[in-house]
Amino acid sequence: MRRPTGLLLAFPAILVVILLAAVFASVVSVSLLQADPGGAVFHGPASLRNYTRLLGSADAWRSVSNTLRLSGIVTLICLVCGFPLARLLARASSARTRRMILFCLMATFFSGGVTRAYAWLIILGNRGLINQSLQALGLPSVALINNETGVVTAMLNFVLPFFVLTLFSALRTIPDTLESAARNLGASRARTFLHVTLPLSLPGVAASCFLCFALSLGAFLFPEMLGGGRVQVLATAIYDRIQTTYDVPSAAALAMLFLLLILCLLAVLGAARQVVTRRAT
Amino acid sequence: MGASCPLEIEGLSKRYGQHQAVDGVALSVAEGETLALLGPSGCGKTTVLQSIAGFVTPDAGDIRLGGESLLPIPPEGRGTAMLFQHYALFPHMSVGGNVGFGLRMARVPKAEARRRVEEALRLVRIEALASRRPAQLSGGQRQRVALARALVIEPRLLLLDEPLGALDQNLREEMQTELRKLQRRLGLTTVMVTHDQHEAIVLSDKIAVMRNGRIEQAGTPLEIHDHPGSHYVATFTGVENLLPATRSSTDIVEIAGTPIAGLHAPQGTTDALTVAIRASAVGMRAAGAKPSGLLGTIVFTQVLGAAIRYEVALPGALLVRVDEARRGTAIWEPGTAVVLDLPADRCTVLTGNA
Amino acid sequence: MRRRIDHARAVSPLAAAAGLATLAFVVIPLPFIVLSAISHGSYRLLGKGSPTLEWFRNFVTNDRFMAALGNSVSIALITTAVTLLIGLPTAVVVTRGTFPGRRLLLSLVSLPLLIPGVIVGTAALGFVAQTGIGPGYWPITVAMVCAALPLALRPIIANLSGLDQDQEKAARNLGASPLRGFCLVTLPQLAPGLLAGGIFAFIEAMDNFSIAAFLTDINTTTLPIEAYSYIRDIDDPTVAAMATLLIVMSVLIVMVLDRLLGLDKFLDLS
Repeated sequence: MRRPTGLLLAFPAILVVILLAAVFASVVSVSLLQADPGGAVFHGPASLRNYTRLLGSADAWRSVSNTLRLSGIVTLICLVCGFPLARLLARASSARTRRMILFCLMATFFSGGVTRAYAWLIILGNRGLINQSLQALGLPSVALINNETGVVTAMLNFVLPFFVLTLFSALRTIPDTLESAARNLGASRARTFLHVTLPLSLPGVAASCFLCFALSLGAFLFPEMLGGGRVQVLATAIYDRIQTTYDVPSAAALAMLFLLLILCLLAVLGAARQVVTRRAT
Repeated sequence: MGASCPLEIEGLSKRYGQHQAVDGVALSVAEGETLALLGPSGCGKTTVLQSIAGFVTPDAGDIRLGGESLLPIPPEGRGTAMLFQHYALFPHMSVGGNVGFGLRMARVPKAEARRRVEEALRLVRIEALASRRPAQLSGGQRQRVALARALVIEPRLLLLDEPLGALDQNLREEMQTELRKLQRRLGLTTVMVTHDQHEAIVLSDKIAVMRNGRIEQAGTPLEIHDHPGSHYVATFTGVENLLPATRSSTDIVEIAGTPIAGLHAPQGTTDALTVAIRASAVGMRAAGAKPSGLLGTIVFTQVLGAAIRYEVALPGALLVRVDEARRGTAIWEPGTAVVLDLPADRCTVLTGNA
Repeated sequence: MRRRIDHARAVSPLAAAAGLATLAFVVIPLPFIVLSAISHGSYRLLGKGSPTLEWFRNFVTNDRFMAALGNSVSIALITTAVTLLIGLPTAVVVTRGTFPGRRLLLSLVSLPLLIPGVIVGTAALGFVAQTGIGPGYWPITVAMVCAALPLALRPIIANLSGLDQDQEKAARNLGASPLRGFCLVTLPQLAPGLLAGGIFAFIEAMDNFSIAAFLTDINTTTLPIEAYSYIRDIDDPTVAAMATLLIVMSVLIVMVLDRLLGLDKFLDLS
């Protein structure tokens, strides 16, 4: 491709990048200002006051630890629950089974976040399906929403399709003749899994967990809808600042700190993933 | 078909970073002649072909077709139809659509285009497949579609990139014959690229063996086949016997201490020589009561089908491969003492040891 | 009769059961939504009485919902079109181009995929507040394009890099200009990638909550935002009716994809 043509074709994407850069430059500068109470006007002078206030705030640190803990839990459960399904998908003997599973996963995936968050409210709510059933059986009701249980359940439900589909793409590139070869050489099904399947799956597992963790870190809708204000993660903490006090500069500062945290975490995890991948291949 | 043109290449060079892909290649192909560029992958043969088609811009040199330089012309204006290695058929178009593509580009009127597409399909004997998609065709049929697509535009020059490489053995032989007949009938100037010496020999009038971006040897197929100019060419073209030899005091070549009648060592070279000879050119007879000549013992036999391959051990741990056309069903047993006959006109003396 | 054991099964029955249990967990919200939508109250899943269409009626006669639906659909359509128009040349540059910054360009436009929506949303809000543009329909649309672009790019790039580059060379060899070669040979074969990318862009723009939440105002909301505020204020199954419609749309999309591409092929691209 000749260079002028290439630059012409790259032009729209370059415009998008310029817009993104402008937006982020703007939010950084906003995060250095102060908000007038209740107003959309920010005033200077530019300072790091928002940042220092946030770094000294116990609430902010609690939402950091909540975010990390919930993401970790979701990723772990995802791995345990998602692996069998991804494997079933990759090794299902009939094309119909596979098509059925894919159909279910994708239809759920495309039906949207609000849809599923609402469904979990119906199922887990205080007057929801589970508690109604418990009552009918004469058992005491349990709180399943407005706490971490509800948030984790809904997040898990949202992240699982991503996890399974990503892992599936990785697993099916492993030739099943390798497993046959191991069985042929005298390994039981369990040992085949342990010594052949699992080591070969590790890069795919690492990639899927990485994705899962990244998605969980940024999850907003589910903590917001199923947490009922009682599960504060970074995403909801940022939104609250705008909803309750319209303090855009403070929200912007928190968002920038969140971004910094995410970039560091993802860099570390990305490096770890590379190590896993390199050792497996 | 269209007016075929002679092709001349002069001082062609192309460098990719540190790698000199093509290094001063000069070639000429007469009108209606087929030239094969033969060599292993990475020898530069494909770069030469791509330069002719216009997909590679050479650093130096010139390519002239019918006396006119091709270099200023973009690929679409060169009139050099190419048969791509994996055919590069357009999967979303029918066979007819593929073959008619070039005519559509040249804005040939519809009726005439249809007639020419039919004619081209008939030429490669797939007129019944016009409405199929490439995915529905066998390898051989795809090959024919690609050929029809190249021929229908009446090119000034035909370029073949590993034309038969993707076909299985039987089909390959059938297509070789058919392709050769078509070339003769149409009189198209053709340049082909292949790593298969057999394909080069059966399909071309002239072969240029390439090595590291240069032409190692150029000649007719029989010259290349019978008289490789170097160890490299001999090895690459699959000469079965490369026998260490020495020079006698009378400049006659000796193998295992036995002089080969009529085979003279080249002037002023070293004493270490190699004799290259094809297995099928070596004669063999039973050693009589008082044998003389190149004496050996059969150590291994293998049925090739039309011939029998013998491995004959000579004194000094020399092994000679002999292919003997079958006469009847008798096969000589291992252990039989034989006398070998190396005809001087089928031997090539190379300097140095292999 | 002796029971025949199928030693050839790659997945043990236990592992298969675990997999199907996970699948059930993933799918379970959908039937409950549909049940709720035709029940007489949020938490009375068909308990008493016959199925009702009351909530669907409620949804289509609610002005705020209809306005939000109109916004969401029109924003999603614009986003899809614009995203593909930007995505196609970008994919070509990234896979076929020669200039050195093209990998970096891809990483930069992919940033909104990596960065949580809340951060992008806050940044967008900061920008529109500082510049005086203010939130609303067009800021949402532009934000959706930025968010959808990396999603749409992936299938297009996967599709494009899977194509045999010799085909375009063959077209030029047969007399086509570079542009004609692209339009006649490559573009038709990019249909699957463009379809997959378009669907991703459309769904993202329809469903996005975290960015849109920062850019809606009193006059302009989108369907997810409107649904959330409805749940907080009223909480009757009207939202379930809306969600049922979204599920129907989703099932239709997957069916169309299965018919046109095959789900396996779709996954390969994304």
